[in-house]
Amino acid sequence: MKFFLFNILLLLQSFLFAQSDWKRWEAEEISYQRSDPHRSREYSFEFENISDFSVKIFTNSYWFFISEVDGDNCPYSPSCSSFFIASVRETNPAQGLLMFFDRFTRDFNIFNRKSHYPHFINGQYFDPPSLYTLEASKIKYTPPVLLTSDK
Amino acid sequence: MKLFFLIAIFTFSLIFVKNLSAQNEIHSPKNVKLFADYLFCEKDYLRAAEEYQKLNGGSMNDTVAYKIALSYYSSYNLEKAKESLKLINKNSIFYDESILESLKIQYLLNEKFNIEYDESLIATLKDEKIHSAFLKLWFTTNLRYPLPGVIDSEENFLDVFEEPLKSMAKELFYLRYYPNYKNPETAGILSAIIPGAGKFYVDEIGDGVMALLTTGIFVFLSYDNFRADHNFRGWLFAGISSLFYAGNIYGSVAAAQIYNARLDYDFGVKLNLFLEDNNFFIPHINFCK
Amino acid sequence: MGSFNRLVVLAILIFIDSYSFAQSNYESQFELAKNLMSEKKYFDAITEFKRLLFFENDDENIFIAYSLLGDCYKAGAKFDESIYYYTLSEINSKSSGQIYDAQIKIIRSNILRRTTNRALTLLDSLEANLKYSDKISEINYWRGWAFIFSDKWDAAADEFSKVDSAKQLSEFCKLTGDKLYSVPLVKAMSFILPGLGQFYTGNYISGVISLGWNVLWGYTAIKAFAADRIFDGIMVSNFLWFRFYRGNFENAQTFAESSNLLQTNKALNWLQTEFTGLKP
Repeated sequence: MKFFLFNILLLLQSFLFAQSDWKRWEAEEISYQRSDPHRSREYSFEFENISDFSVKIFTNSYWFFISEVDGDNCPYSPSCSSFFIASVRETNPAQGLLMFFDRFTRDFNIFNRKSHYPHFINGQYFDPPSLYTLEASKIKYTPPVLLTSDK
Repeated sequence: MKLFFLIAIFTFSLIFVKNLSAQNEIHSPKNVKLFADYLFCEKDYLRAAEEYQKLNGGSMNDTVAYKIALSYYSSYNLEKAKESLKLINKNSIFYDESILESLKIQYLLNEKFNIEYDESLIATLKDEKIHSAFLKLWFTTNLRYPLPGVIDSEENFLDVFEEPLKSMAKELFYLRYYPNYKNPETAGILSAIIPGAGKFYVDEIGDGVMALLTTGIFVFLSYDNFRADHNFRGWLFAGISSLFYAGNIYGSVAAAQIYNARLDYDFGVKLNLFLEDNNFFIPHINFCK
Repeated sequence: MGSFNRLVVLAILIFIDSYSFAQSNYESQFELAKNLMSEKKYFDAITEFKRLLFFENDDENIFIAYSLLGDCYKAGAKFDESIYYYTLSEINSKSSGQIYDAQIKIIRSNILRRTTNRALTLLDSLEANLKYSDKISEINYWRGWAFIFSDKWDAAADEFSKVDSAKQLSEFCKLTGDKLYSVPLVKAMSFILPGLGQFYTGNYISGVISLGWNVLWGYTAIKAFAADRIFDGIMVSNFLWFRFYRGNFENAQTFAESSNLLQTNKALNWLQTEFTGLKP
């Protein structure tokens, strides 16, 4: 048993060193608490201009009366409604609307998503508005791999 | 005789004591180097670099200086690796390798090259192998960050490679200078003529089919309702179908841009793989025999 | 002759002294590493322990050094590495007591890493080992913690109740477990009547909205079927009524899980910050 353990450890050791000790680190206490895996909504009414405010009223109402009660149907992150808000903020209401309808169309395509979009461990596909603003310099292409964060 | 015997015992004892103390002095320069070599071979690179840097004077030599840089590079401390390489002087046996390492690190740091490609630099690289490696590395990294006048032509680029590297280098050259980009305007126009056609153009078949279906269905619903004199519903579905139609054109233009960004990304990945698979053309020195 | 013998003895004493100096050199290295550890300079402490192990031959020191290496990595929340070194200390152990200590440390790291199934398996194997029949109390104690980290508060309460010194913990776990909603029950309630699960979890407005949508689309669909508008009926049933019906018990589940998470996180926070007993 000890011999077996020893051999496994020999194989593991270079992998372990490779991961953790290539940067100086300090003591760290992990929190016992768990994170909430459910999608959270930003219900605040903070706005930058009048169109932002109108969009916020519309989406907050949509979330409260419809989206929260009809289940988590959107396979994307951000969700379609959050995508709409972010698109309007990043561009303008008209362009944001077009981006939203394009996203809605892509939402209907249930085939080959995994080979097309990067995805998180919870199964949601990462599809940020920054890819669709028509400004090529803003496009940060991410291949269809498993992501650990949305940064 | 007794005196001679006594002196011999004392001398032996003192030498033995000195050696034993030196050996057992864990933090002596000799032992620090031994430990640092061990850490280096165990891939505990940051610790190895920190141990090597404790050495000075007689214990510091060309190999140690070079291994400091290698240790920092191997633990992804690229800035420190770059600084360590600058300290390797021209008389070092690893000076040529340090030039190649510097070029590699500048590439990895996405920095503009400040190693001037001139004949005097090439002349300092006396070893033929290093000279050839430098040219390969210089030309390959220039595919990503081109400097004027470096790559004049396909022949000029491929000349520095021998098979089997030449075929991969050729592929990379074509990916860089003749990429199969899609025209966003073309994608938009195609989708304006037939909804979804622009998406087919950029290989998004599923999205193209959905764009065609959604636009088609809502147009049909609008027509059907107008025919049945349901004017409100007719206009409602007409409005929705217009939005889907406009969104499809917009999305096709964006899809073409994303397609091109993907080509650039894939090129970068292939280039990095080519460099890494060949160790950036730098001769590998096994310090852990 | 007498002075000659004295000088020979002196030479021998110098030799013995240098040999013991070599030994105390290792001890001072050990002290250096432990001092760095007590100053919470764990990265440097690890370097010094590794240096000690590189030059050390004494088995006793090797076991302790590996164990302390594991402690350093654990302090940095690097549990994979800590388990690796605890395992090395187990391999280099010389007594069943040392093996036990090493295994308990491995179990505690597994608990913190939330690989609690592994921790429970190891605890079971320790319990089955007759050499550790006098350690059953401690084994049950760590099993309780493994259940806490697996979110099984009732099972944790049961385990702590078997440990004399952990009655308070047992009560605490039982109280926490009592505050949690049964997620299958909540889902079943919403399955039977849309909105009922939401009412049960205290989300009345959401329950009313959910019930309202289900009533509206259900009425619309039935009316369409009754009027022989089959296509309309299928469209409303499939895209609206079923969507809101399914959404209703997903919503109830989300409320129950979120509420449970709030309660368990409160409990876990208390355990981490206020509880003064032994923790993983």
